[in-house]
Amino acid sequence: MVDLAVKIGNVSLANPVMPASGTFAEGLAQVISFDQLGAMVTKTITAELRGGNPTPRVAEVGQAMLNSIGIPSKGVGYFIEHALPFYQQFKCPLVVSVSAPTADGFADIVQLLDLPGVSIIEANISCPNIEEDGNAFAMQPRSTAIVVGKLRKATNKPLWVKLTPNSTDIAAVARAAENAGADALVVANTILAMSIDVETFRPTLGNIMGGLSGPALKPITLRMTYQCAKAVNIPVIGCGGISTAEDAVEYMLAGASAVQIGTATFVRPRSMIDVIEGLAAFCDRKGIKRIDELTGAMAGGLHVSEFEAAQ
Amino acid sequence: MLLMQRLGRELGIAGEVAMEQQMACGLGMCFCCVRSFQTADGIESRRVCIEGPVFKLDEALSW
Ligand SMILES: Cc1cc2nc3c(=O)[nH]c(=O)nc-3n(C[C@H](O)[C@H](O)[C@H](O)COP(=O)(O)O)c2cc1C
Ligand code: FES
Repeated sequence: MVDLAVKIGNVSLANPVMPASGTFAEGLAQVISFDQLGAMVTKTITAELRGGNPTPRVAEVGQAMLNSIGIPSKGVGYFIEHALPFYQQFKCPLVVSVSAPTADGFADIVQLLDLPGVSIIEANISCPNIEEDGNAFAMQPRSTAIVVGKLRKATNKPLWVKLTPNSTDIAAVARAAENAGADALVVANTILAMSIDVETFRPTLGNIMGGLSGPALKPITLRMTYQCAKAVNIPVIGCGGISTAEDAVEYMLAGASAVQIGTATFVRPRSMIDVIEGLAAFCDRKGIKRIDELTGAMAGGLHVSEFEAAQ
Repeated sequence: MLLMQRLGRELGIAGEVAMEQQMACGLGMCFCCVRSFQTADGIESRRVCIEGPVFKLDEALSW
């Protein structure tokens, strides 16, 4: 029997597989049993009511998809009254993803979530759609340090910080989040992208630009997971383009302690369960007793020179 | 749809409309399949996949 359990800071997960924010909600319980997941992760919520972006909000592009959902939110009150009780029937930890337009706003919303049933806070400081032209806190170490510092003071819950790949130096952002008190990093959100319908000359998204997710994103966010895992001593949770157990193994070898799965769930709603079962089979085949042995186990270690790698 | 709405209003006949929208998840999770509806409290977004696909004709907006 393979031991699939992992630890993310003080939190123990039965296995390293959980949904990516925005691709998971109550409706998936019609298809899979949430008790089998390592954790549950909510769509990002905000304190205030928000409408989200114009339609069309999604488009297919090659081995990926674009989305410009934005963060439609019925507000934190609605979440506490309706969603939280639903998730409390399951035994795995609930990760609540939050966002706000200002650093103080982030602090305010996590204070409202100081409730039993909220196991972990995931600060989405990376959503590229909500701020003008895709700007987000996580694009710069300085703004990351400010918002994470305020969050750290505002909550005693484990604090995960989700980074954006739309940053020129993600390792510096990762270090800023660690120094400001993050307990773990999620690497990463979607890459700002766009596509145009050449028949109609119209952008395929109502918002023109949106976030790229799915298999095409994987080599990029995998590289960033590797860079972040090298740069910090807190756990890194890999996210981007994972659809098979082998994809998840790759992330763990690059330094991830756990993984999140998003777009693959849209293609196959059972994807997360298949990845969990596939990870157990993979470890069995390789004679690996505990899955956490995979974290950072890339041959040669995590210390290949980036300068040489780019030549 | 606008014509049906006008006729419904003039003749006092209630109606329903089945609506389409791009869908990614089909399970109410991703909020990509929204359409706008006029309600007493203002304009509301509803998901075609889970709150629809059939809606009250007099509330549906064409954008
Ligand atoms: C439709 C959709 C909605 C998303 N909404 C959110 C969100 O609310 N908050 C967030 O942090 N990330 C959001 N994401 C990003 C995902 O959580 C994830 O970081 C990204 O999709 C990459 O993973 P994937 O390739 O497995 O989908 C969303 C992604 C998609 C496709
Ligand atoms: S298709 Fe995802 S919410 Fe309707």
